[in-house]
Amino acid sequence: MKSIISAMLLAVAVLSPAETAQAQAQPVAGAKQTPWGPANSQIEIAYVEPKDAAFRPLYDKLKKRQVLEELQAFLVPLRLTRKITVKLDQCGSAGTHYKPGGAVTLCYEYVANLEQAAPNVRVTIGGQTFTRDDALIGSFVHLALSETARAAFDVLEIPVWGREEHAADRVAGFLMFQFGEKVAYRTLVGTSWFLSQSSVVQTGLPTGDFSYTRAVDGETLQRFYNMICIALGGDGTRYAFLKKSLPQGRADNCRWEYLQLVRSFNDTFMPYVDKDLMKQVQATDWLAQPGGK
Amino acid sequence: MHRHLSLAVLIAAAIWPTMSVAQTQVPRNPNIIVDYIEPRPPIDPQDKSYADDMAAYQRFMKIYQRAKQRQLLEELAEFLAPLKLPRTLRVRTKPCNEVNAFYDPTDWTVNICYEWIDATEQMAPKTVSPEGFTRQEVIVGGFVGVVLHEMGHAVNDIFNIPVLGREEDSADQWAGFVMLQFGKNVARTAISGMAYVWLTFARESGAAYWDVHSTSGQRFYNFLCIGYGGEPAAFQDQVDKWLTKDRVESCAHEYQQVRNAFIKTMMPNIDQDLLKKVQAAKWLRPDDGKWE
Repeated sequence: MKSIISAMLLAVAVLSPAETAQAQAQPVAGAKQTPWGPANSQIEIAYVEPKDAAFRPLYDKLKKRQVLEELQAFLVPLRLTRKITVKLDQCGSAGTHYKPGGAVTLCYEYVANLEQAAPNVRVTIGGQTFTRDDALIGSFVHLALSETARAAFDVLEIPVWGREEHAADRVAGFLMFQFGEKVAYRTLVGTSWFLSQSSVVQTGLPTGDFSYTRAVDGETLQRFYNMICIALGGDGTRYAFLKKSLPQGRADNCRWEYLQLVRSFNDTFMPYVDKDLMKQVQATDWLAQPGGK
Repeated sequence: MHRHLSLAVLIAAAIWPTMSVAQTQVPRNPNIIVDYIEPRPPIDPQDKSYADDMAAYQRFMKIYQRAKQRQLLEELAEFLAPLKLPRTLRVRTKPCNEVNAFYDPTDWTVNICYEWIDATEQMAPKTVSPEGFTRQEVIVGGFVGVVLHEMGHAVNDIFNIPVLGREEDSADQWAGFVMLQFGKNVARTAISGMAYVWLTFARESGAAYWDVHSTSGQRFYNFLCIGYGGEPAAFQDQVDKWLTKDRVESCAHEYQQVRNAFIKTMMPNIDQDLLKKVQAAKWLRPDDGKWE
């Protein structure tokens, strides 16, 4: 559970540099306040009680931790033109996605899968210790951001070329890269871990370098390759260790793909971002939980 | 009816062996330079691949001669007249030593390889495939699809179109969307043909999920889905046969998303008056693409 809590903290953190800590966001007139600052008044939230008792502990913990309130605060710079609802709910399957006019739904089933895929042992990836928390944080942040991105495409009428599912993944990956090396490592590698482990027949202990990835679910594997390509494109030196997981022909293209993503994000999303509120969000240390815990 | 006409320019280009030069009042796009690169024969009879290379050369020469005689690329330049290109775009047919077509941003050139045209003609059924795809669809769609795909890359580059998803998928979407703007018959022919090409490639080789391109199987399904999204009646039988219920239900949304993106990002770069002129020309003939 602590991992899930951390995940939401980090979800907020991706819009802020980890280096700029402790500053408090200034009040937004009429906005609901959260422990992390003002909430985006266009985002309504709901914790839906699961019908399956197995998800009840997850529901209780996420609600107590106010993960959705934190997401509301994290997204305060985004000027949505109409209200959207973000909810945690039991979906019936893990593969439910946002549909136009609907709610952003983060499924208990998907969160449960994140926990199932997370390693129970410490491994070393890219010369750095990778923990179970890293896997959970990264993949939950990715879930929250990619599903919210789909809603933003709809609400803001963002032109989406190159298929929505890839666009949502890429926007999430791009955001995860914008807030310092520590945040980028935890989220990008954590997401990559989940995507790779979700597409493999597990034949042994993790090696820590994705080298035992074997596709049984091609589309998830495709998303894994896309994610590590973003990492290579964003910082080819820091993430050089990922090259062995990606054929050269694709790896050589990753920098170009990343630069195209940067330009496209600036052209489409930035007109809807409040720069002043963005600075306030960036001035908060989202990695630290309220009360210093 | 008008909507049938502008793609028909391109259709005509794809099926040049059986039709006369189109009679249009459409000027060529002055910023498009076209060229036909002549294939060269193999030079060493002792090379172990000489016989195969010579056979390929002879096929490529036929393609080259037909394309040049029928002014294939000149017609393409007419079809693309509405594009307000801010720089010169080169379009050429050429031998590539691989089954391919590609846009080269270093010199703003769309390259259509004789190997690609040859491969689609080779894979086309004599009349109708067991799955119901016709020879005409495969030959027309295989060419139109690849030309429009590469044009998608070219416009992305030249107009700095924002692509939040994957570049290669965006080029397929661009091609599919354009194919759908000229009526059910054109859409059915071009999209079905392109889909068959990907179905064939999917059967011939494994899925490279690491690649910048979607897999051949995914591209097959994607083309049918956007076709159904844009022209449900024209593709009902095919999606019933090939797509899952869940995917079929998303096709209308997928098409609308591409349409919205096209309107927002491409329409400012299209001359509306020239578009009307392109739409006023008639190109497609009943026997197009039906040669042996």
